[in-house]
Formats: sequence, structure tokens, C-alpha cells
Amino acid sequence: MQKNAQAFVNQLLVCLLVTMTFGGSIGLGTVWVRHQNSLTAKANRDLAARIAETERRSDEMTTLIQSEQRPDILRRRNTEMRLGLVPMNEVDVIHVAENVTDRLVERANRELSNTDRARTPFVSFKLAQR
Amino acid sequence: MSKGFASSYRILLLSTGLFVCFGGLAMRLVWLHVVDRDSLLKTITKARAQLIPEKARRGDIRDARGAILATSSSKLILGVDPHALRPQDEQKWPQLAALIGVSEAEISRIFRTKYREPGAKGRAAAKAGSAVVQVKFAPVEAAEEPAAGDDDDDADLDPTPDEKGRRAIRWAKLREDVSESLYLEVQKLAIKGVYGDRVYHRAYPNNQLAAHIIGYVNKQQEAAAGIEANLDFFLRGQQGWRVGERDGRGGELPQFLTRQVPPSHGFSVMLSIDLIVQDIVEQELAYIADKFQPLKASIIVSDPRTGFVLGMGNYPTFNPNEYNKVPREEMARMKNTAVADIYEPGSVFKIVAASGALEERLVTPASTFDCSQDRLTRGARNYKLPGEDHKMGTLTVSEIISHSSNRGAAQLGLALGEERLEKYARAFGFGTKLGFPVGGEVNGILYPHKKWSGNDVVIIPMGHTVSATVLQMHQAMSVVAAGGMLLRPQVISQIRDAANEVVYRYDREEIGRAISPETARTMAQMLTGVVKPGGTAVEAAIDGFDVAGKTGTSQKLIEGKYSKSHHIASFVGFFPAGRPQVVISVVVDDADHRAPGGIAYGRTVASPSFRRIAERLIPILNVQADSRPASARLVAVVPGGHK
Repeated sequence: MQKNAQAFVNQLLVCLLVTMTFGGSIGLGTVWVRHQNSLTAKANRDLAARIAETERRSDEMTTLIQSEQRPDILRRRNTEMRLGLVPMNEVDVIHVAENVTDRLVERANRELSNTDRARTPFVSFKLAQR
Repeated sequence: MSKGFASSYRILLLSTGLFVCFGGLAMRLVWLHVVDRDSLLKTITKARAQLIPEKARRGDIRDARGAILATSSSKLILGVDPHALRPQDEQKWPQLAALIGVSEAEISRIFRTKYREPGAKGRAAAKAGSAVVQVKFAPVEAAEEPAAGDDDDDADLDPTPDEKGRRAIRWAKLREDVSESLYLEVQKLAIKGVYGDRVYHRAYPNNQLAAHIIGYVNKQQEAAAGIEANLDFFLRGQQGWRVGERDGRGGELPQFLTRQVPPSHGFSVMLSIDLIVQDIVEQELAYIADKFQPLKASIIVSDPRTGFVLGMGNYPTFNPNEYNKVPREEMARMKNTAVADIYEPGSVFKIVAASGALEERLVTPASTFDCSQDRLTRGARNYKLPGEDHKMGTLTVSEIISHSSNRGAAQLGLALGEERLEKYARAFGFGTKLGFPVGGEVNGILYPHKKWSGNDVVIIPMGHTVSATVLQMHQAMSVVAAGGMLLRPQVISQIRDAANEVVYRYDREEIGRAISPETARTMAQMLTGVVKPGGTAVEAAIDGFDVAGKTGTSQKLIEGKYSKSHHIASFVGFFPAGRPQVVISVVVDDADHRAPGGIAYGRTVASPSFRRIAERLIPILNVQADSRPASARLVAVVPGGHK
């Protein structure tokens, strides 16, 4: 009877140790998982911060570029850098009312005939006088 | 079998030990979770829980070609916690001073002032409800940095005074509007205690261009005027927030984030304003200001086919980036005078009486009127006709318009009668708001005909005793250009969401038909006579294009009397007359002192500006002449043409 009780207690102690080891492992595992979660969350937060940072720099750069493209600045640069750029004006614009293809064909033919005429040797005939 | 480890004594001892340990643990748990639960929860909630707002980015305002007119960028308010400074960083102070453009003496003064004496101006650091909306762009920094506050004040003070009654300065402002790139340089110095608070800053990259249309956002991030205020609901977006916990140093613990609502960024607004057209308009205004030094001037350019405004500018104007630098006595510069101020339109108004008489079939362009007589009897009434600038004889209706005869217009008004004259004036958009979204549009003045005095029916046709905004006069001319239809003047073209998808598109909107298309065509034809030899504005003629328009020179009402030395000069016209693509209005107020002959006529002051603007718009808007005479080069290649 006493042997049985001691055996039972031994088993109980072994079970207790196994349970504590198992529980401890579970606990440590949970802590490790939570730590990993924490690291992932922090990494996400850092990434979000970097994205926000990039967006901020992008916004700043866009504003800067737009400011530099302001018409009065472009005019000033044109003068300072002596680019000689002038605004578009009506003088150089030719409004073509007729069919553009026909117009181009005619121009090409005209140029062709002018070229042929230039290449054709001048021939003269002397008429006999009777 | 061995006896093993288990003996009765040891079992008892072990059991007791375990029981005591677990019992103690259980007691402590019960104590913490049941007895002290409320107070502990309260402390933890107060100490750890935090709600972080995430400010939405305000949407951009763009022109018709997509160029940015208003945008949001982050700026930093750079400050210092004097108590956090380290002695070893003192050698870096001059570098910091040079970087941020503050004198070394000033930096030294701010850094060494650690306390605010009793009675001195300041505010408590604990004051949370600051007027400035703080923006937390980066959660890391945002959560770790203490909140800045009202930038009207330059320091955050400890709420609790010390034994001497002084309060510790926890944050003192060094400089506002620090850019991200500059802040990066400041961070590289690694001076402990120097840090910046991010705030959204509204930037207007084109400075004063279209300032009266765009408006501005003030320092409290409140939309104060223009499109910014009108479409604030779409532009401002929806603030987001997240609930989480922070550690002992105030840093956010992202793993304990419980709820998060992301911010919805503001929509973008696309205007019908074309930056290039707007620039031309404002260059011309600058030229007018320089040459004539007027009291004010306004120019509007629009597309008569849709009613969309392509450019609108006023002189004087302001820079929305520096709205707070406008002196109090010059606040009128911020008013969109083209829609918020009224003036007597003068002779430009003659188009109303002429259109009405033509529409009612009372006259034809060839009908004649004796414009030499100064009195006229109709029924039992004898009317005193207004004077002319120079003597006129018998004129056709076309000549009344092209010569701008006051007596001719008066007789057209008489032919129409009071009731119909008022009807047509209202049909052309006078006396009521046109629904322009920005600038605080006003009604103008057009009394009901029953309240008119005896002679009003002959004075109103020449644009006296009636007042209108520049926009109303512009839109009235657009009626002729748009085939007789009064369109709502519009400046907003599209609203786009954060993904750049169009969520709302504004289209041409008709208010009502004023005159028939036939009458409009006849009027347009008659108005081309104004810029032809013999007309009142040959200066507005453009080579190769038929221009239709009307000059106006109205005397200003000063101290109840019409002044002979203060005039409002105007020219409102469109081109090409047969197929109108652009309507341009130029109105210059009180340019007499610098005008030729000492009187600012529409012909001499406003018409040349019309022509200059129109000529520059031709290639930009690709305006095609409907009856453009072919050049010699082209005639040679046109089939059937003559060499």
C-alpha cells in the first residue's frame, strides 16, 4: 500500500515537472511570439515613418519644382542666361485652311518640277533663214 | 522498488511550500485583479493609453493643364528644450545659428534662458487644446516628441512654478517654416534638446498668380477665402486616428495598437484657370498699373461656349503665401474686385438695349435715329436725352453701337420701354448673382422698373443708374458670343480623389436664354464695327481676326455727382466674331491722371490691353479665324487660287 502511494507520488512529481517544463516552454514561446510581434509592429511603424518621410520629401520637392517653374522666374532665367527665348506669337503661325495632304503633294511636285527644270540642259535651235 | 524521493515528511514539506507559493501568488493576483483593479486600471489607462490623431493631407488645387496652384507640404517649427541641453553641444551652437539664419547671440539667449520669471508672458505646457493643429507624420517622432503649441507664443512653460515662482521653459521656439531638408541638416548636428514639430504648411508655388481665385489657408489651418474656402469640404479630407499605448518615455508601443482609422486625404480640385492665360492677364495688369497707376483694374478671360473662366485677375493683388503681411489699411487688395465691387458699366451696357430692340423686331441694324436732338417727346412725356462726346447726326442702329451714341441708345431704350428694358437687363444677368463660386459675388444694382425715375429709361441704356460687377458685364457680352444664352460663369472644372480619379465634373450650365441666336449673330456683326475705322476702338482690332466688342467710359459718382475727372474705362469684347472662342474684359478704374488727354477713355486705356491679351492668346488657345484672309503664300497653292 505504501509502495503504491510512493509510486503515485513519484509519478505525480514527474508529471508535475513535465507539466512545469511544458508550461514554461509554452510561456517562453508565447513571450518569444509576442516579442516577434512587437518587432514586426515596430518594423511596420518604421516603414510607415519612412514612407511618410518620403512623401514629405516628395511634396517638398514638387512644391520646389513648381515654384521654380513660375512664369516670372522662367522669364528672369531667360534674361539671366541669355537664352533668347520669346513667347509664341501669331506672326509665325500659318493657318492652313485646305487639305494638308494635297498641300504637301503640291509642294513636293512643285519642288520636283523646279529641280527637273534646273537639271534640263538648255537647248536652242537656230532656224535657217531662207 | 526503491523508496525514492518521496517520504511522508518531504511530501508534506513540499506540498506546504508549493501551497504557500501558489497561495501567495493567487492572493496577489486576486488583490491586483479584483481589489485594486479600478485604481490600477485608471493609472494604467492614464499613463499608457494614447489616442494619436493622423491629420489628412489637404488636397491640391491645380489649373486646367495640371500645374499646381496650391499644395500642402510639411514644415517644422524648430525649438529647444533648454533643460535638455548638454554642455558638450555648446560648440555646435554657432553652426546651428548659421544653419537656421538666427544670430549666435539670439541662439545663446534662448538656450540659456531656462526659466520664465513670474508675471512674464507664457503658456502652460500641459495646455493640450492648442489652436494649431499638430500633424503627426511620422509615428516614431510624433509619439516621442512633446506637443508644440500656439505659435503666437514662443515658449512652452512648466505648469507648476518652482519655490521662487518661476516656471521652467520646456520648449522655446527657434524658427518657423523650417523645411524638411534644412531640418535634416539640423538633425545631423545632434544637439540634444533641439527638435522640430511638424505642421502642414499650405504653399502657393505661383505666389500672387490667381490669388483672388485660389484664396488662402490661414495659420490656424482654416480656409479663409477663395476656392480654399468654397471647396474646403472636399479639400480638407478626413482626419484619422489610432488608439494604442506608450511606454514610460512616451514612445508609442505599436504592438499594443488596438484601433486604427486611417486618414482620408483631401480631394484635389482642378480649375478652368489656365496658368499661362492667367500669367498673361496679370502681366497686362502689371503693365496697366505701371503705365496708368489706376485705383484698381480687373481683367477676365473666358470661353463663351462653356462659361468657364480661363483667367481672372485684379490690381492690386496679394501673395497668398504672405497674406498676413498685407497691411491693415490695404486689406482691399485681398478682395476679388471683379465680382465683389460694382461700377456703372457705361456704354458697354448699350448692347442690352440694342439686343432687346432687335429681338423685339422694333428695329433692324439699318434703322435710323436722329441723334442730334437733345429732347424727345413720347406720348405725353418729354425726355431730356443725354449728351454726346461729340456731335452726332442721323445714325443707323449699327452706327449707334459703333459710334457709341448715348442719344441713340436712349432712343432704343425708349423704343423698348421700361418694362422690356428691365426684362432684357435681367435676362443678360444684371441685378442678380450669377453663381460664381468665389470672391463674395454681389448682386449689382438694377431697380425694378416701377421704381425708376422719369428719365431712367433714357439713361439706363447708356449704362448709368445701373451698377454691375465686372463679371456681370463680362457675362452679358458672353451672351452675344454664346448665341444668346446666358451661361453660369464657372471656375471649377473637376474634383478628383486622392487616387486622381474624377469624382465630380462641372459642365456648361445654362441660366437662361436672353436673346435668339439670330439676334446674337446680328449683334456680333454690329459689334465688329466698333473696332473698324470710324468705330470707337480701332485700337482693339487684331489683324486677320474679326473682333466684336464695346468700349465703355463711365464717370465715377463722387460725393453724389458725376465727376468729369474720374472715369472707369472698359472694353469688353470677343473674337473671332463669327465663331467666338474667347471673351475678354478689361476694366480700369480711375486712370485719368496718367491717361492721354487727362481722361481715361475705354478706347485709350482698355482697348489696347484687350488687343495685347488677345494677340498672345491666339497661339496659346489655338484660336482659328473664321474669315481669315489667306496670306499671299497660301493663295498660291490653293486650288483655283491666283498666282
